[in-house]
Amino acid sequence: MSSIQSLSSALSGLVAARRKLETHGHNIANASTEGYTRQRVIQSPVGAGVVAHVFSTSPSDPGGVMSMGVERLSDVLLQSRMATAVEGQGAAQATEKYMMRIEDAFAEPSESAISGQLTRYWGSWASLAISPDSTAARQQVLAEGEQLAYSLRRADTEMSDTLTYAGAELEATASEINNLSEQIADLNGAIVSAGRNTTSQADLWDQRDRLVSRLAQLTGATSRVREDSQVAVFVGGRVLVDNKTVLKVQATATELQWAIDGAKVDASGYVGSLHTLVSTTIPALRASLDAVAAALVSQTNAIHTAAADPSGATGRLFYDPAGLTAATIAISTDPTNGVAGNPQRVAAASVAGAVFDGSAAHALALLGDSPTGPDAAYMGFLSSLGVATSSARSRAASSELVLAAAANDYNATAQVNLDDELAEMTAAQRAYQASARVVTAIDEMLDDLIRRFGRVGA
Amino acid sequence: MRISHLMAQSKVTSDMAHAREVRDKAASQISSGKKITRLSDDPAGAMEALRARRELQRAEIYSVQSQDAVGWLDNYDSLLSQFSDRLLRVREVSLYGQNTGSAGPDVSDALADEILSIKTELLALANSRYTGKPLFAGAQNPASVYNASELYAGDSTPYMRNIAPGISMAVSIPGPDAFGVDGSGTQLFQTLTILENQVRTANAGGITSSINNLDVARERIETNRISVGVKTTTVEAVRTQREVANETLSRQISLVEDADLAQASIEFNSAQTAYNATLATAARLFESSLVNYLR
Repeated sequence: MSSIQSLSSALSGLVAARRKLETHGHNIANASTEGYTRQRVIQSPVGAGVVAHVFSTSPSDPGGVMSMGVERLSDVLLQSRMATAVEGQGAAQATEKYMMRIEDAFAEPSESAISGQLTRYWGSWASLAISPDSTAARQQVLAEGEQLAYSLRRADTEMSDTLTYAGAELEATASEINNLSEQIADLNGAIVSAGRNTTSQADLWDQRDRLVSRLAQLTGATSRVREDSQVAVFVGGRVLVDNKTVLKVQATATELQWAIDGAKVDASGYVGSLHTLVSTTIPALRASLDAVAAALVSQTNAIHTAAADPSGATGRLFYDPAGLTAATIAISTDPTNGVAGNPQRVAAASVAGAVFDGSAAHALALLGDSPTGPDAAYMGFLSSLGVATSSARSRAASSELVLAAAANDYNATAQVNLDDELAEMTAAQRAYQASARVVTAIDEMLDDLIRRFGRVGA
Repeated sequence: MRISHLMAQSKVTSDMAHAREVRDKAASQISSGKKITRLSDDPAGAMEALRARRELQRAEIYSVQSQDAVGWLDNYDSLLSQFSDRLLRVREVSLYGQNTGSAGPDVSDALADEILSIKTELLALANSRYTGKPLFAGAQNPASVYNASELYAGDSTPYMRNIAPGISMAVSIPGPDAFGVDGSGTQLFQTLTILENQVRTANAGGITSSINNLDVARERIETNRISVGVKTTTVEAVRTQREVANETLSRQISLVEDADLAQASIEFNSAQTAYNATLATAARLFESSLVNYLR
């Protein structure tokens, strides 16, 4: 190795140390950037790998160090574990949000909620049974019946509103998914052109990982990095993004579809939960509330139409017999027999013309205790709602914990620790100083050679 | 394990949030006095409390009905005892009429007039009302329960009262049940009319058989009195038992729903301490770094 070559070797040390300092500076600058993965310079001694062959000259190994580029310190296994956790968290979050909203609509347990109103409704019939001649008691029955019908209608509206809201969310999610897919396809191109092991490729890679993780949360998407560093994303076994190709999705009021053939996207995650809520959970809850309304209407009317009002007429309708769902239950407005606005048509007597007979009202009051009555149906509904909401809440809480644990493990390798970086930075700084010292030493050596050579003793 | 600064920071933030949540939950238990504010807090407990509360609300209906039942029964008790007393007097007068038939028409007229006035008095009593409803007319509202020819103007519908879940009781006595069916020969008022005539005409034989009929009518009233007494006892017993049951229900609701204040206070204090400790730790956690020691 010539003396000049020694100088260039020392220079490579200076350059490598500066390169390391730059990378640590980049890490420190991004210490609090969400989703940033710390980077490390790959170094290799120059001359390694020189193989002797026929025409190789005498070893002229220049020595020194070479920067091979930067690598991201990210663990693929931990990353895939985090993707699963993110998917579970997305799914649990959607269910919790919707179930709590429905639970809020009922505001139970409370005396002013539907359970209390049912009791007051039967109580008003019991009062009428005691005073069958009282107009005030009739008005009270009418008011309580009206209030109960209104509360049931309102609860049903709240539930159908959540369906509308879910449709809107699907719409927004579809455009977010398409947007994310486009960005991922763009990044695929940028990552290839940035070149291997460059800082900018590492930064773009971080950006793409963030987008893929968001897709996993929304749809349970899985991804695979191809040979050329491009990523392919799959949802429910179908390709969403591959290299630069994007397959779009679209939303209807009830589901997310592939734009190309209108097939339902077999998604898990947030969208998967929305699918289940819209197609199964909420319709089932509405159906059980409808059963409560139907029981209330048919059982009240069965006794009421057979009973006689104060004028002795029978066949009076209390609830509209056509309104057998929670959405349509209403006091009957039938012009000849409906009680709406007409308390004198509220029937309490089993015997026509018996003014003090309250036995029909008495029978109605007893419905409150019936094991097949609306109260029992409503209690059953509340119990299933409570259990479903409670399990949604605890699933949401535990999925947060699972995600936190997975993120913790992943971040332990991927994120920046300032102390580490400072220590490494100090080491790089020292390496720089040492390389500079080597340059000085060689310079002095050359100086000796040039100026003092042959002047020994002079 | 390697800890990054971002991890330490987000851990402290989430720990602070958690400590605050625990503390606020204890605080809201103390201020609201409730352990359960929504169904999903404790579905089983909430349903139990709901059932208990419903039962308690239904109990109010039963207590109103029981009270009404006692009102009716008390009225019957006093009325029937008056009937019984007056009928004894009629019996006495009739026996006197039977024995002193030969004493002359003046005496017979006087005795017959007394029977007539007692009959009028009893007819007025039979018209008695409770809360505006005639006591002996079933579910009807006639101006007078027995018309001018002593025929019943009401119906046979009894008033039913629901004194407890599953226990319904007839609290009214329609006229025929208390005074006999029209034309049966032992109908009280018809019997009195016949008796009055027989005493006036000093028909000793007729008086004897009428007194027998009168005894049957009086027996019927006594039987009704006993049954009223039994019903009153039943209502009172059920009422007492329901009051005890209601207390149990209230206790049950409170047990499930209400916060244990002492426990909540202790929880609050320990949560407050934990929160303060978390804050203190967080403040000191980021003080030190290698930067402090590098020149």
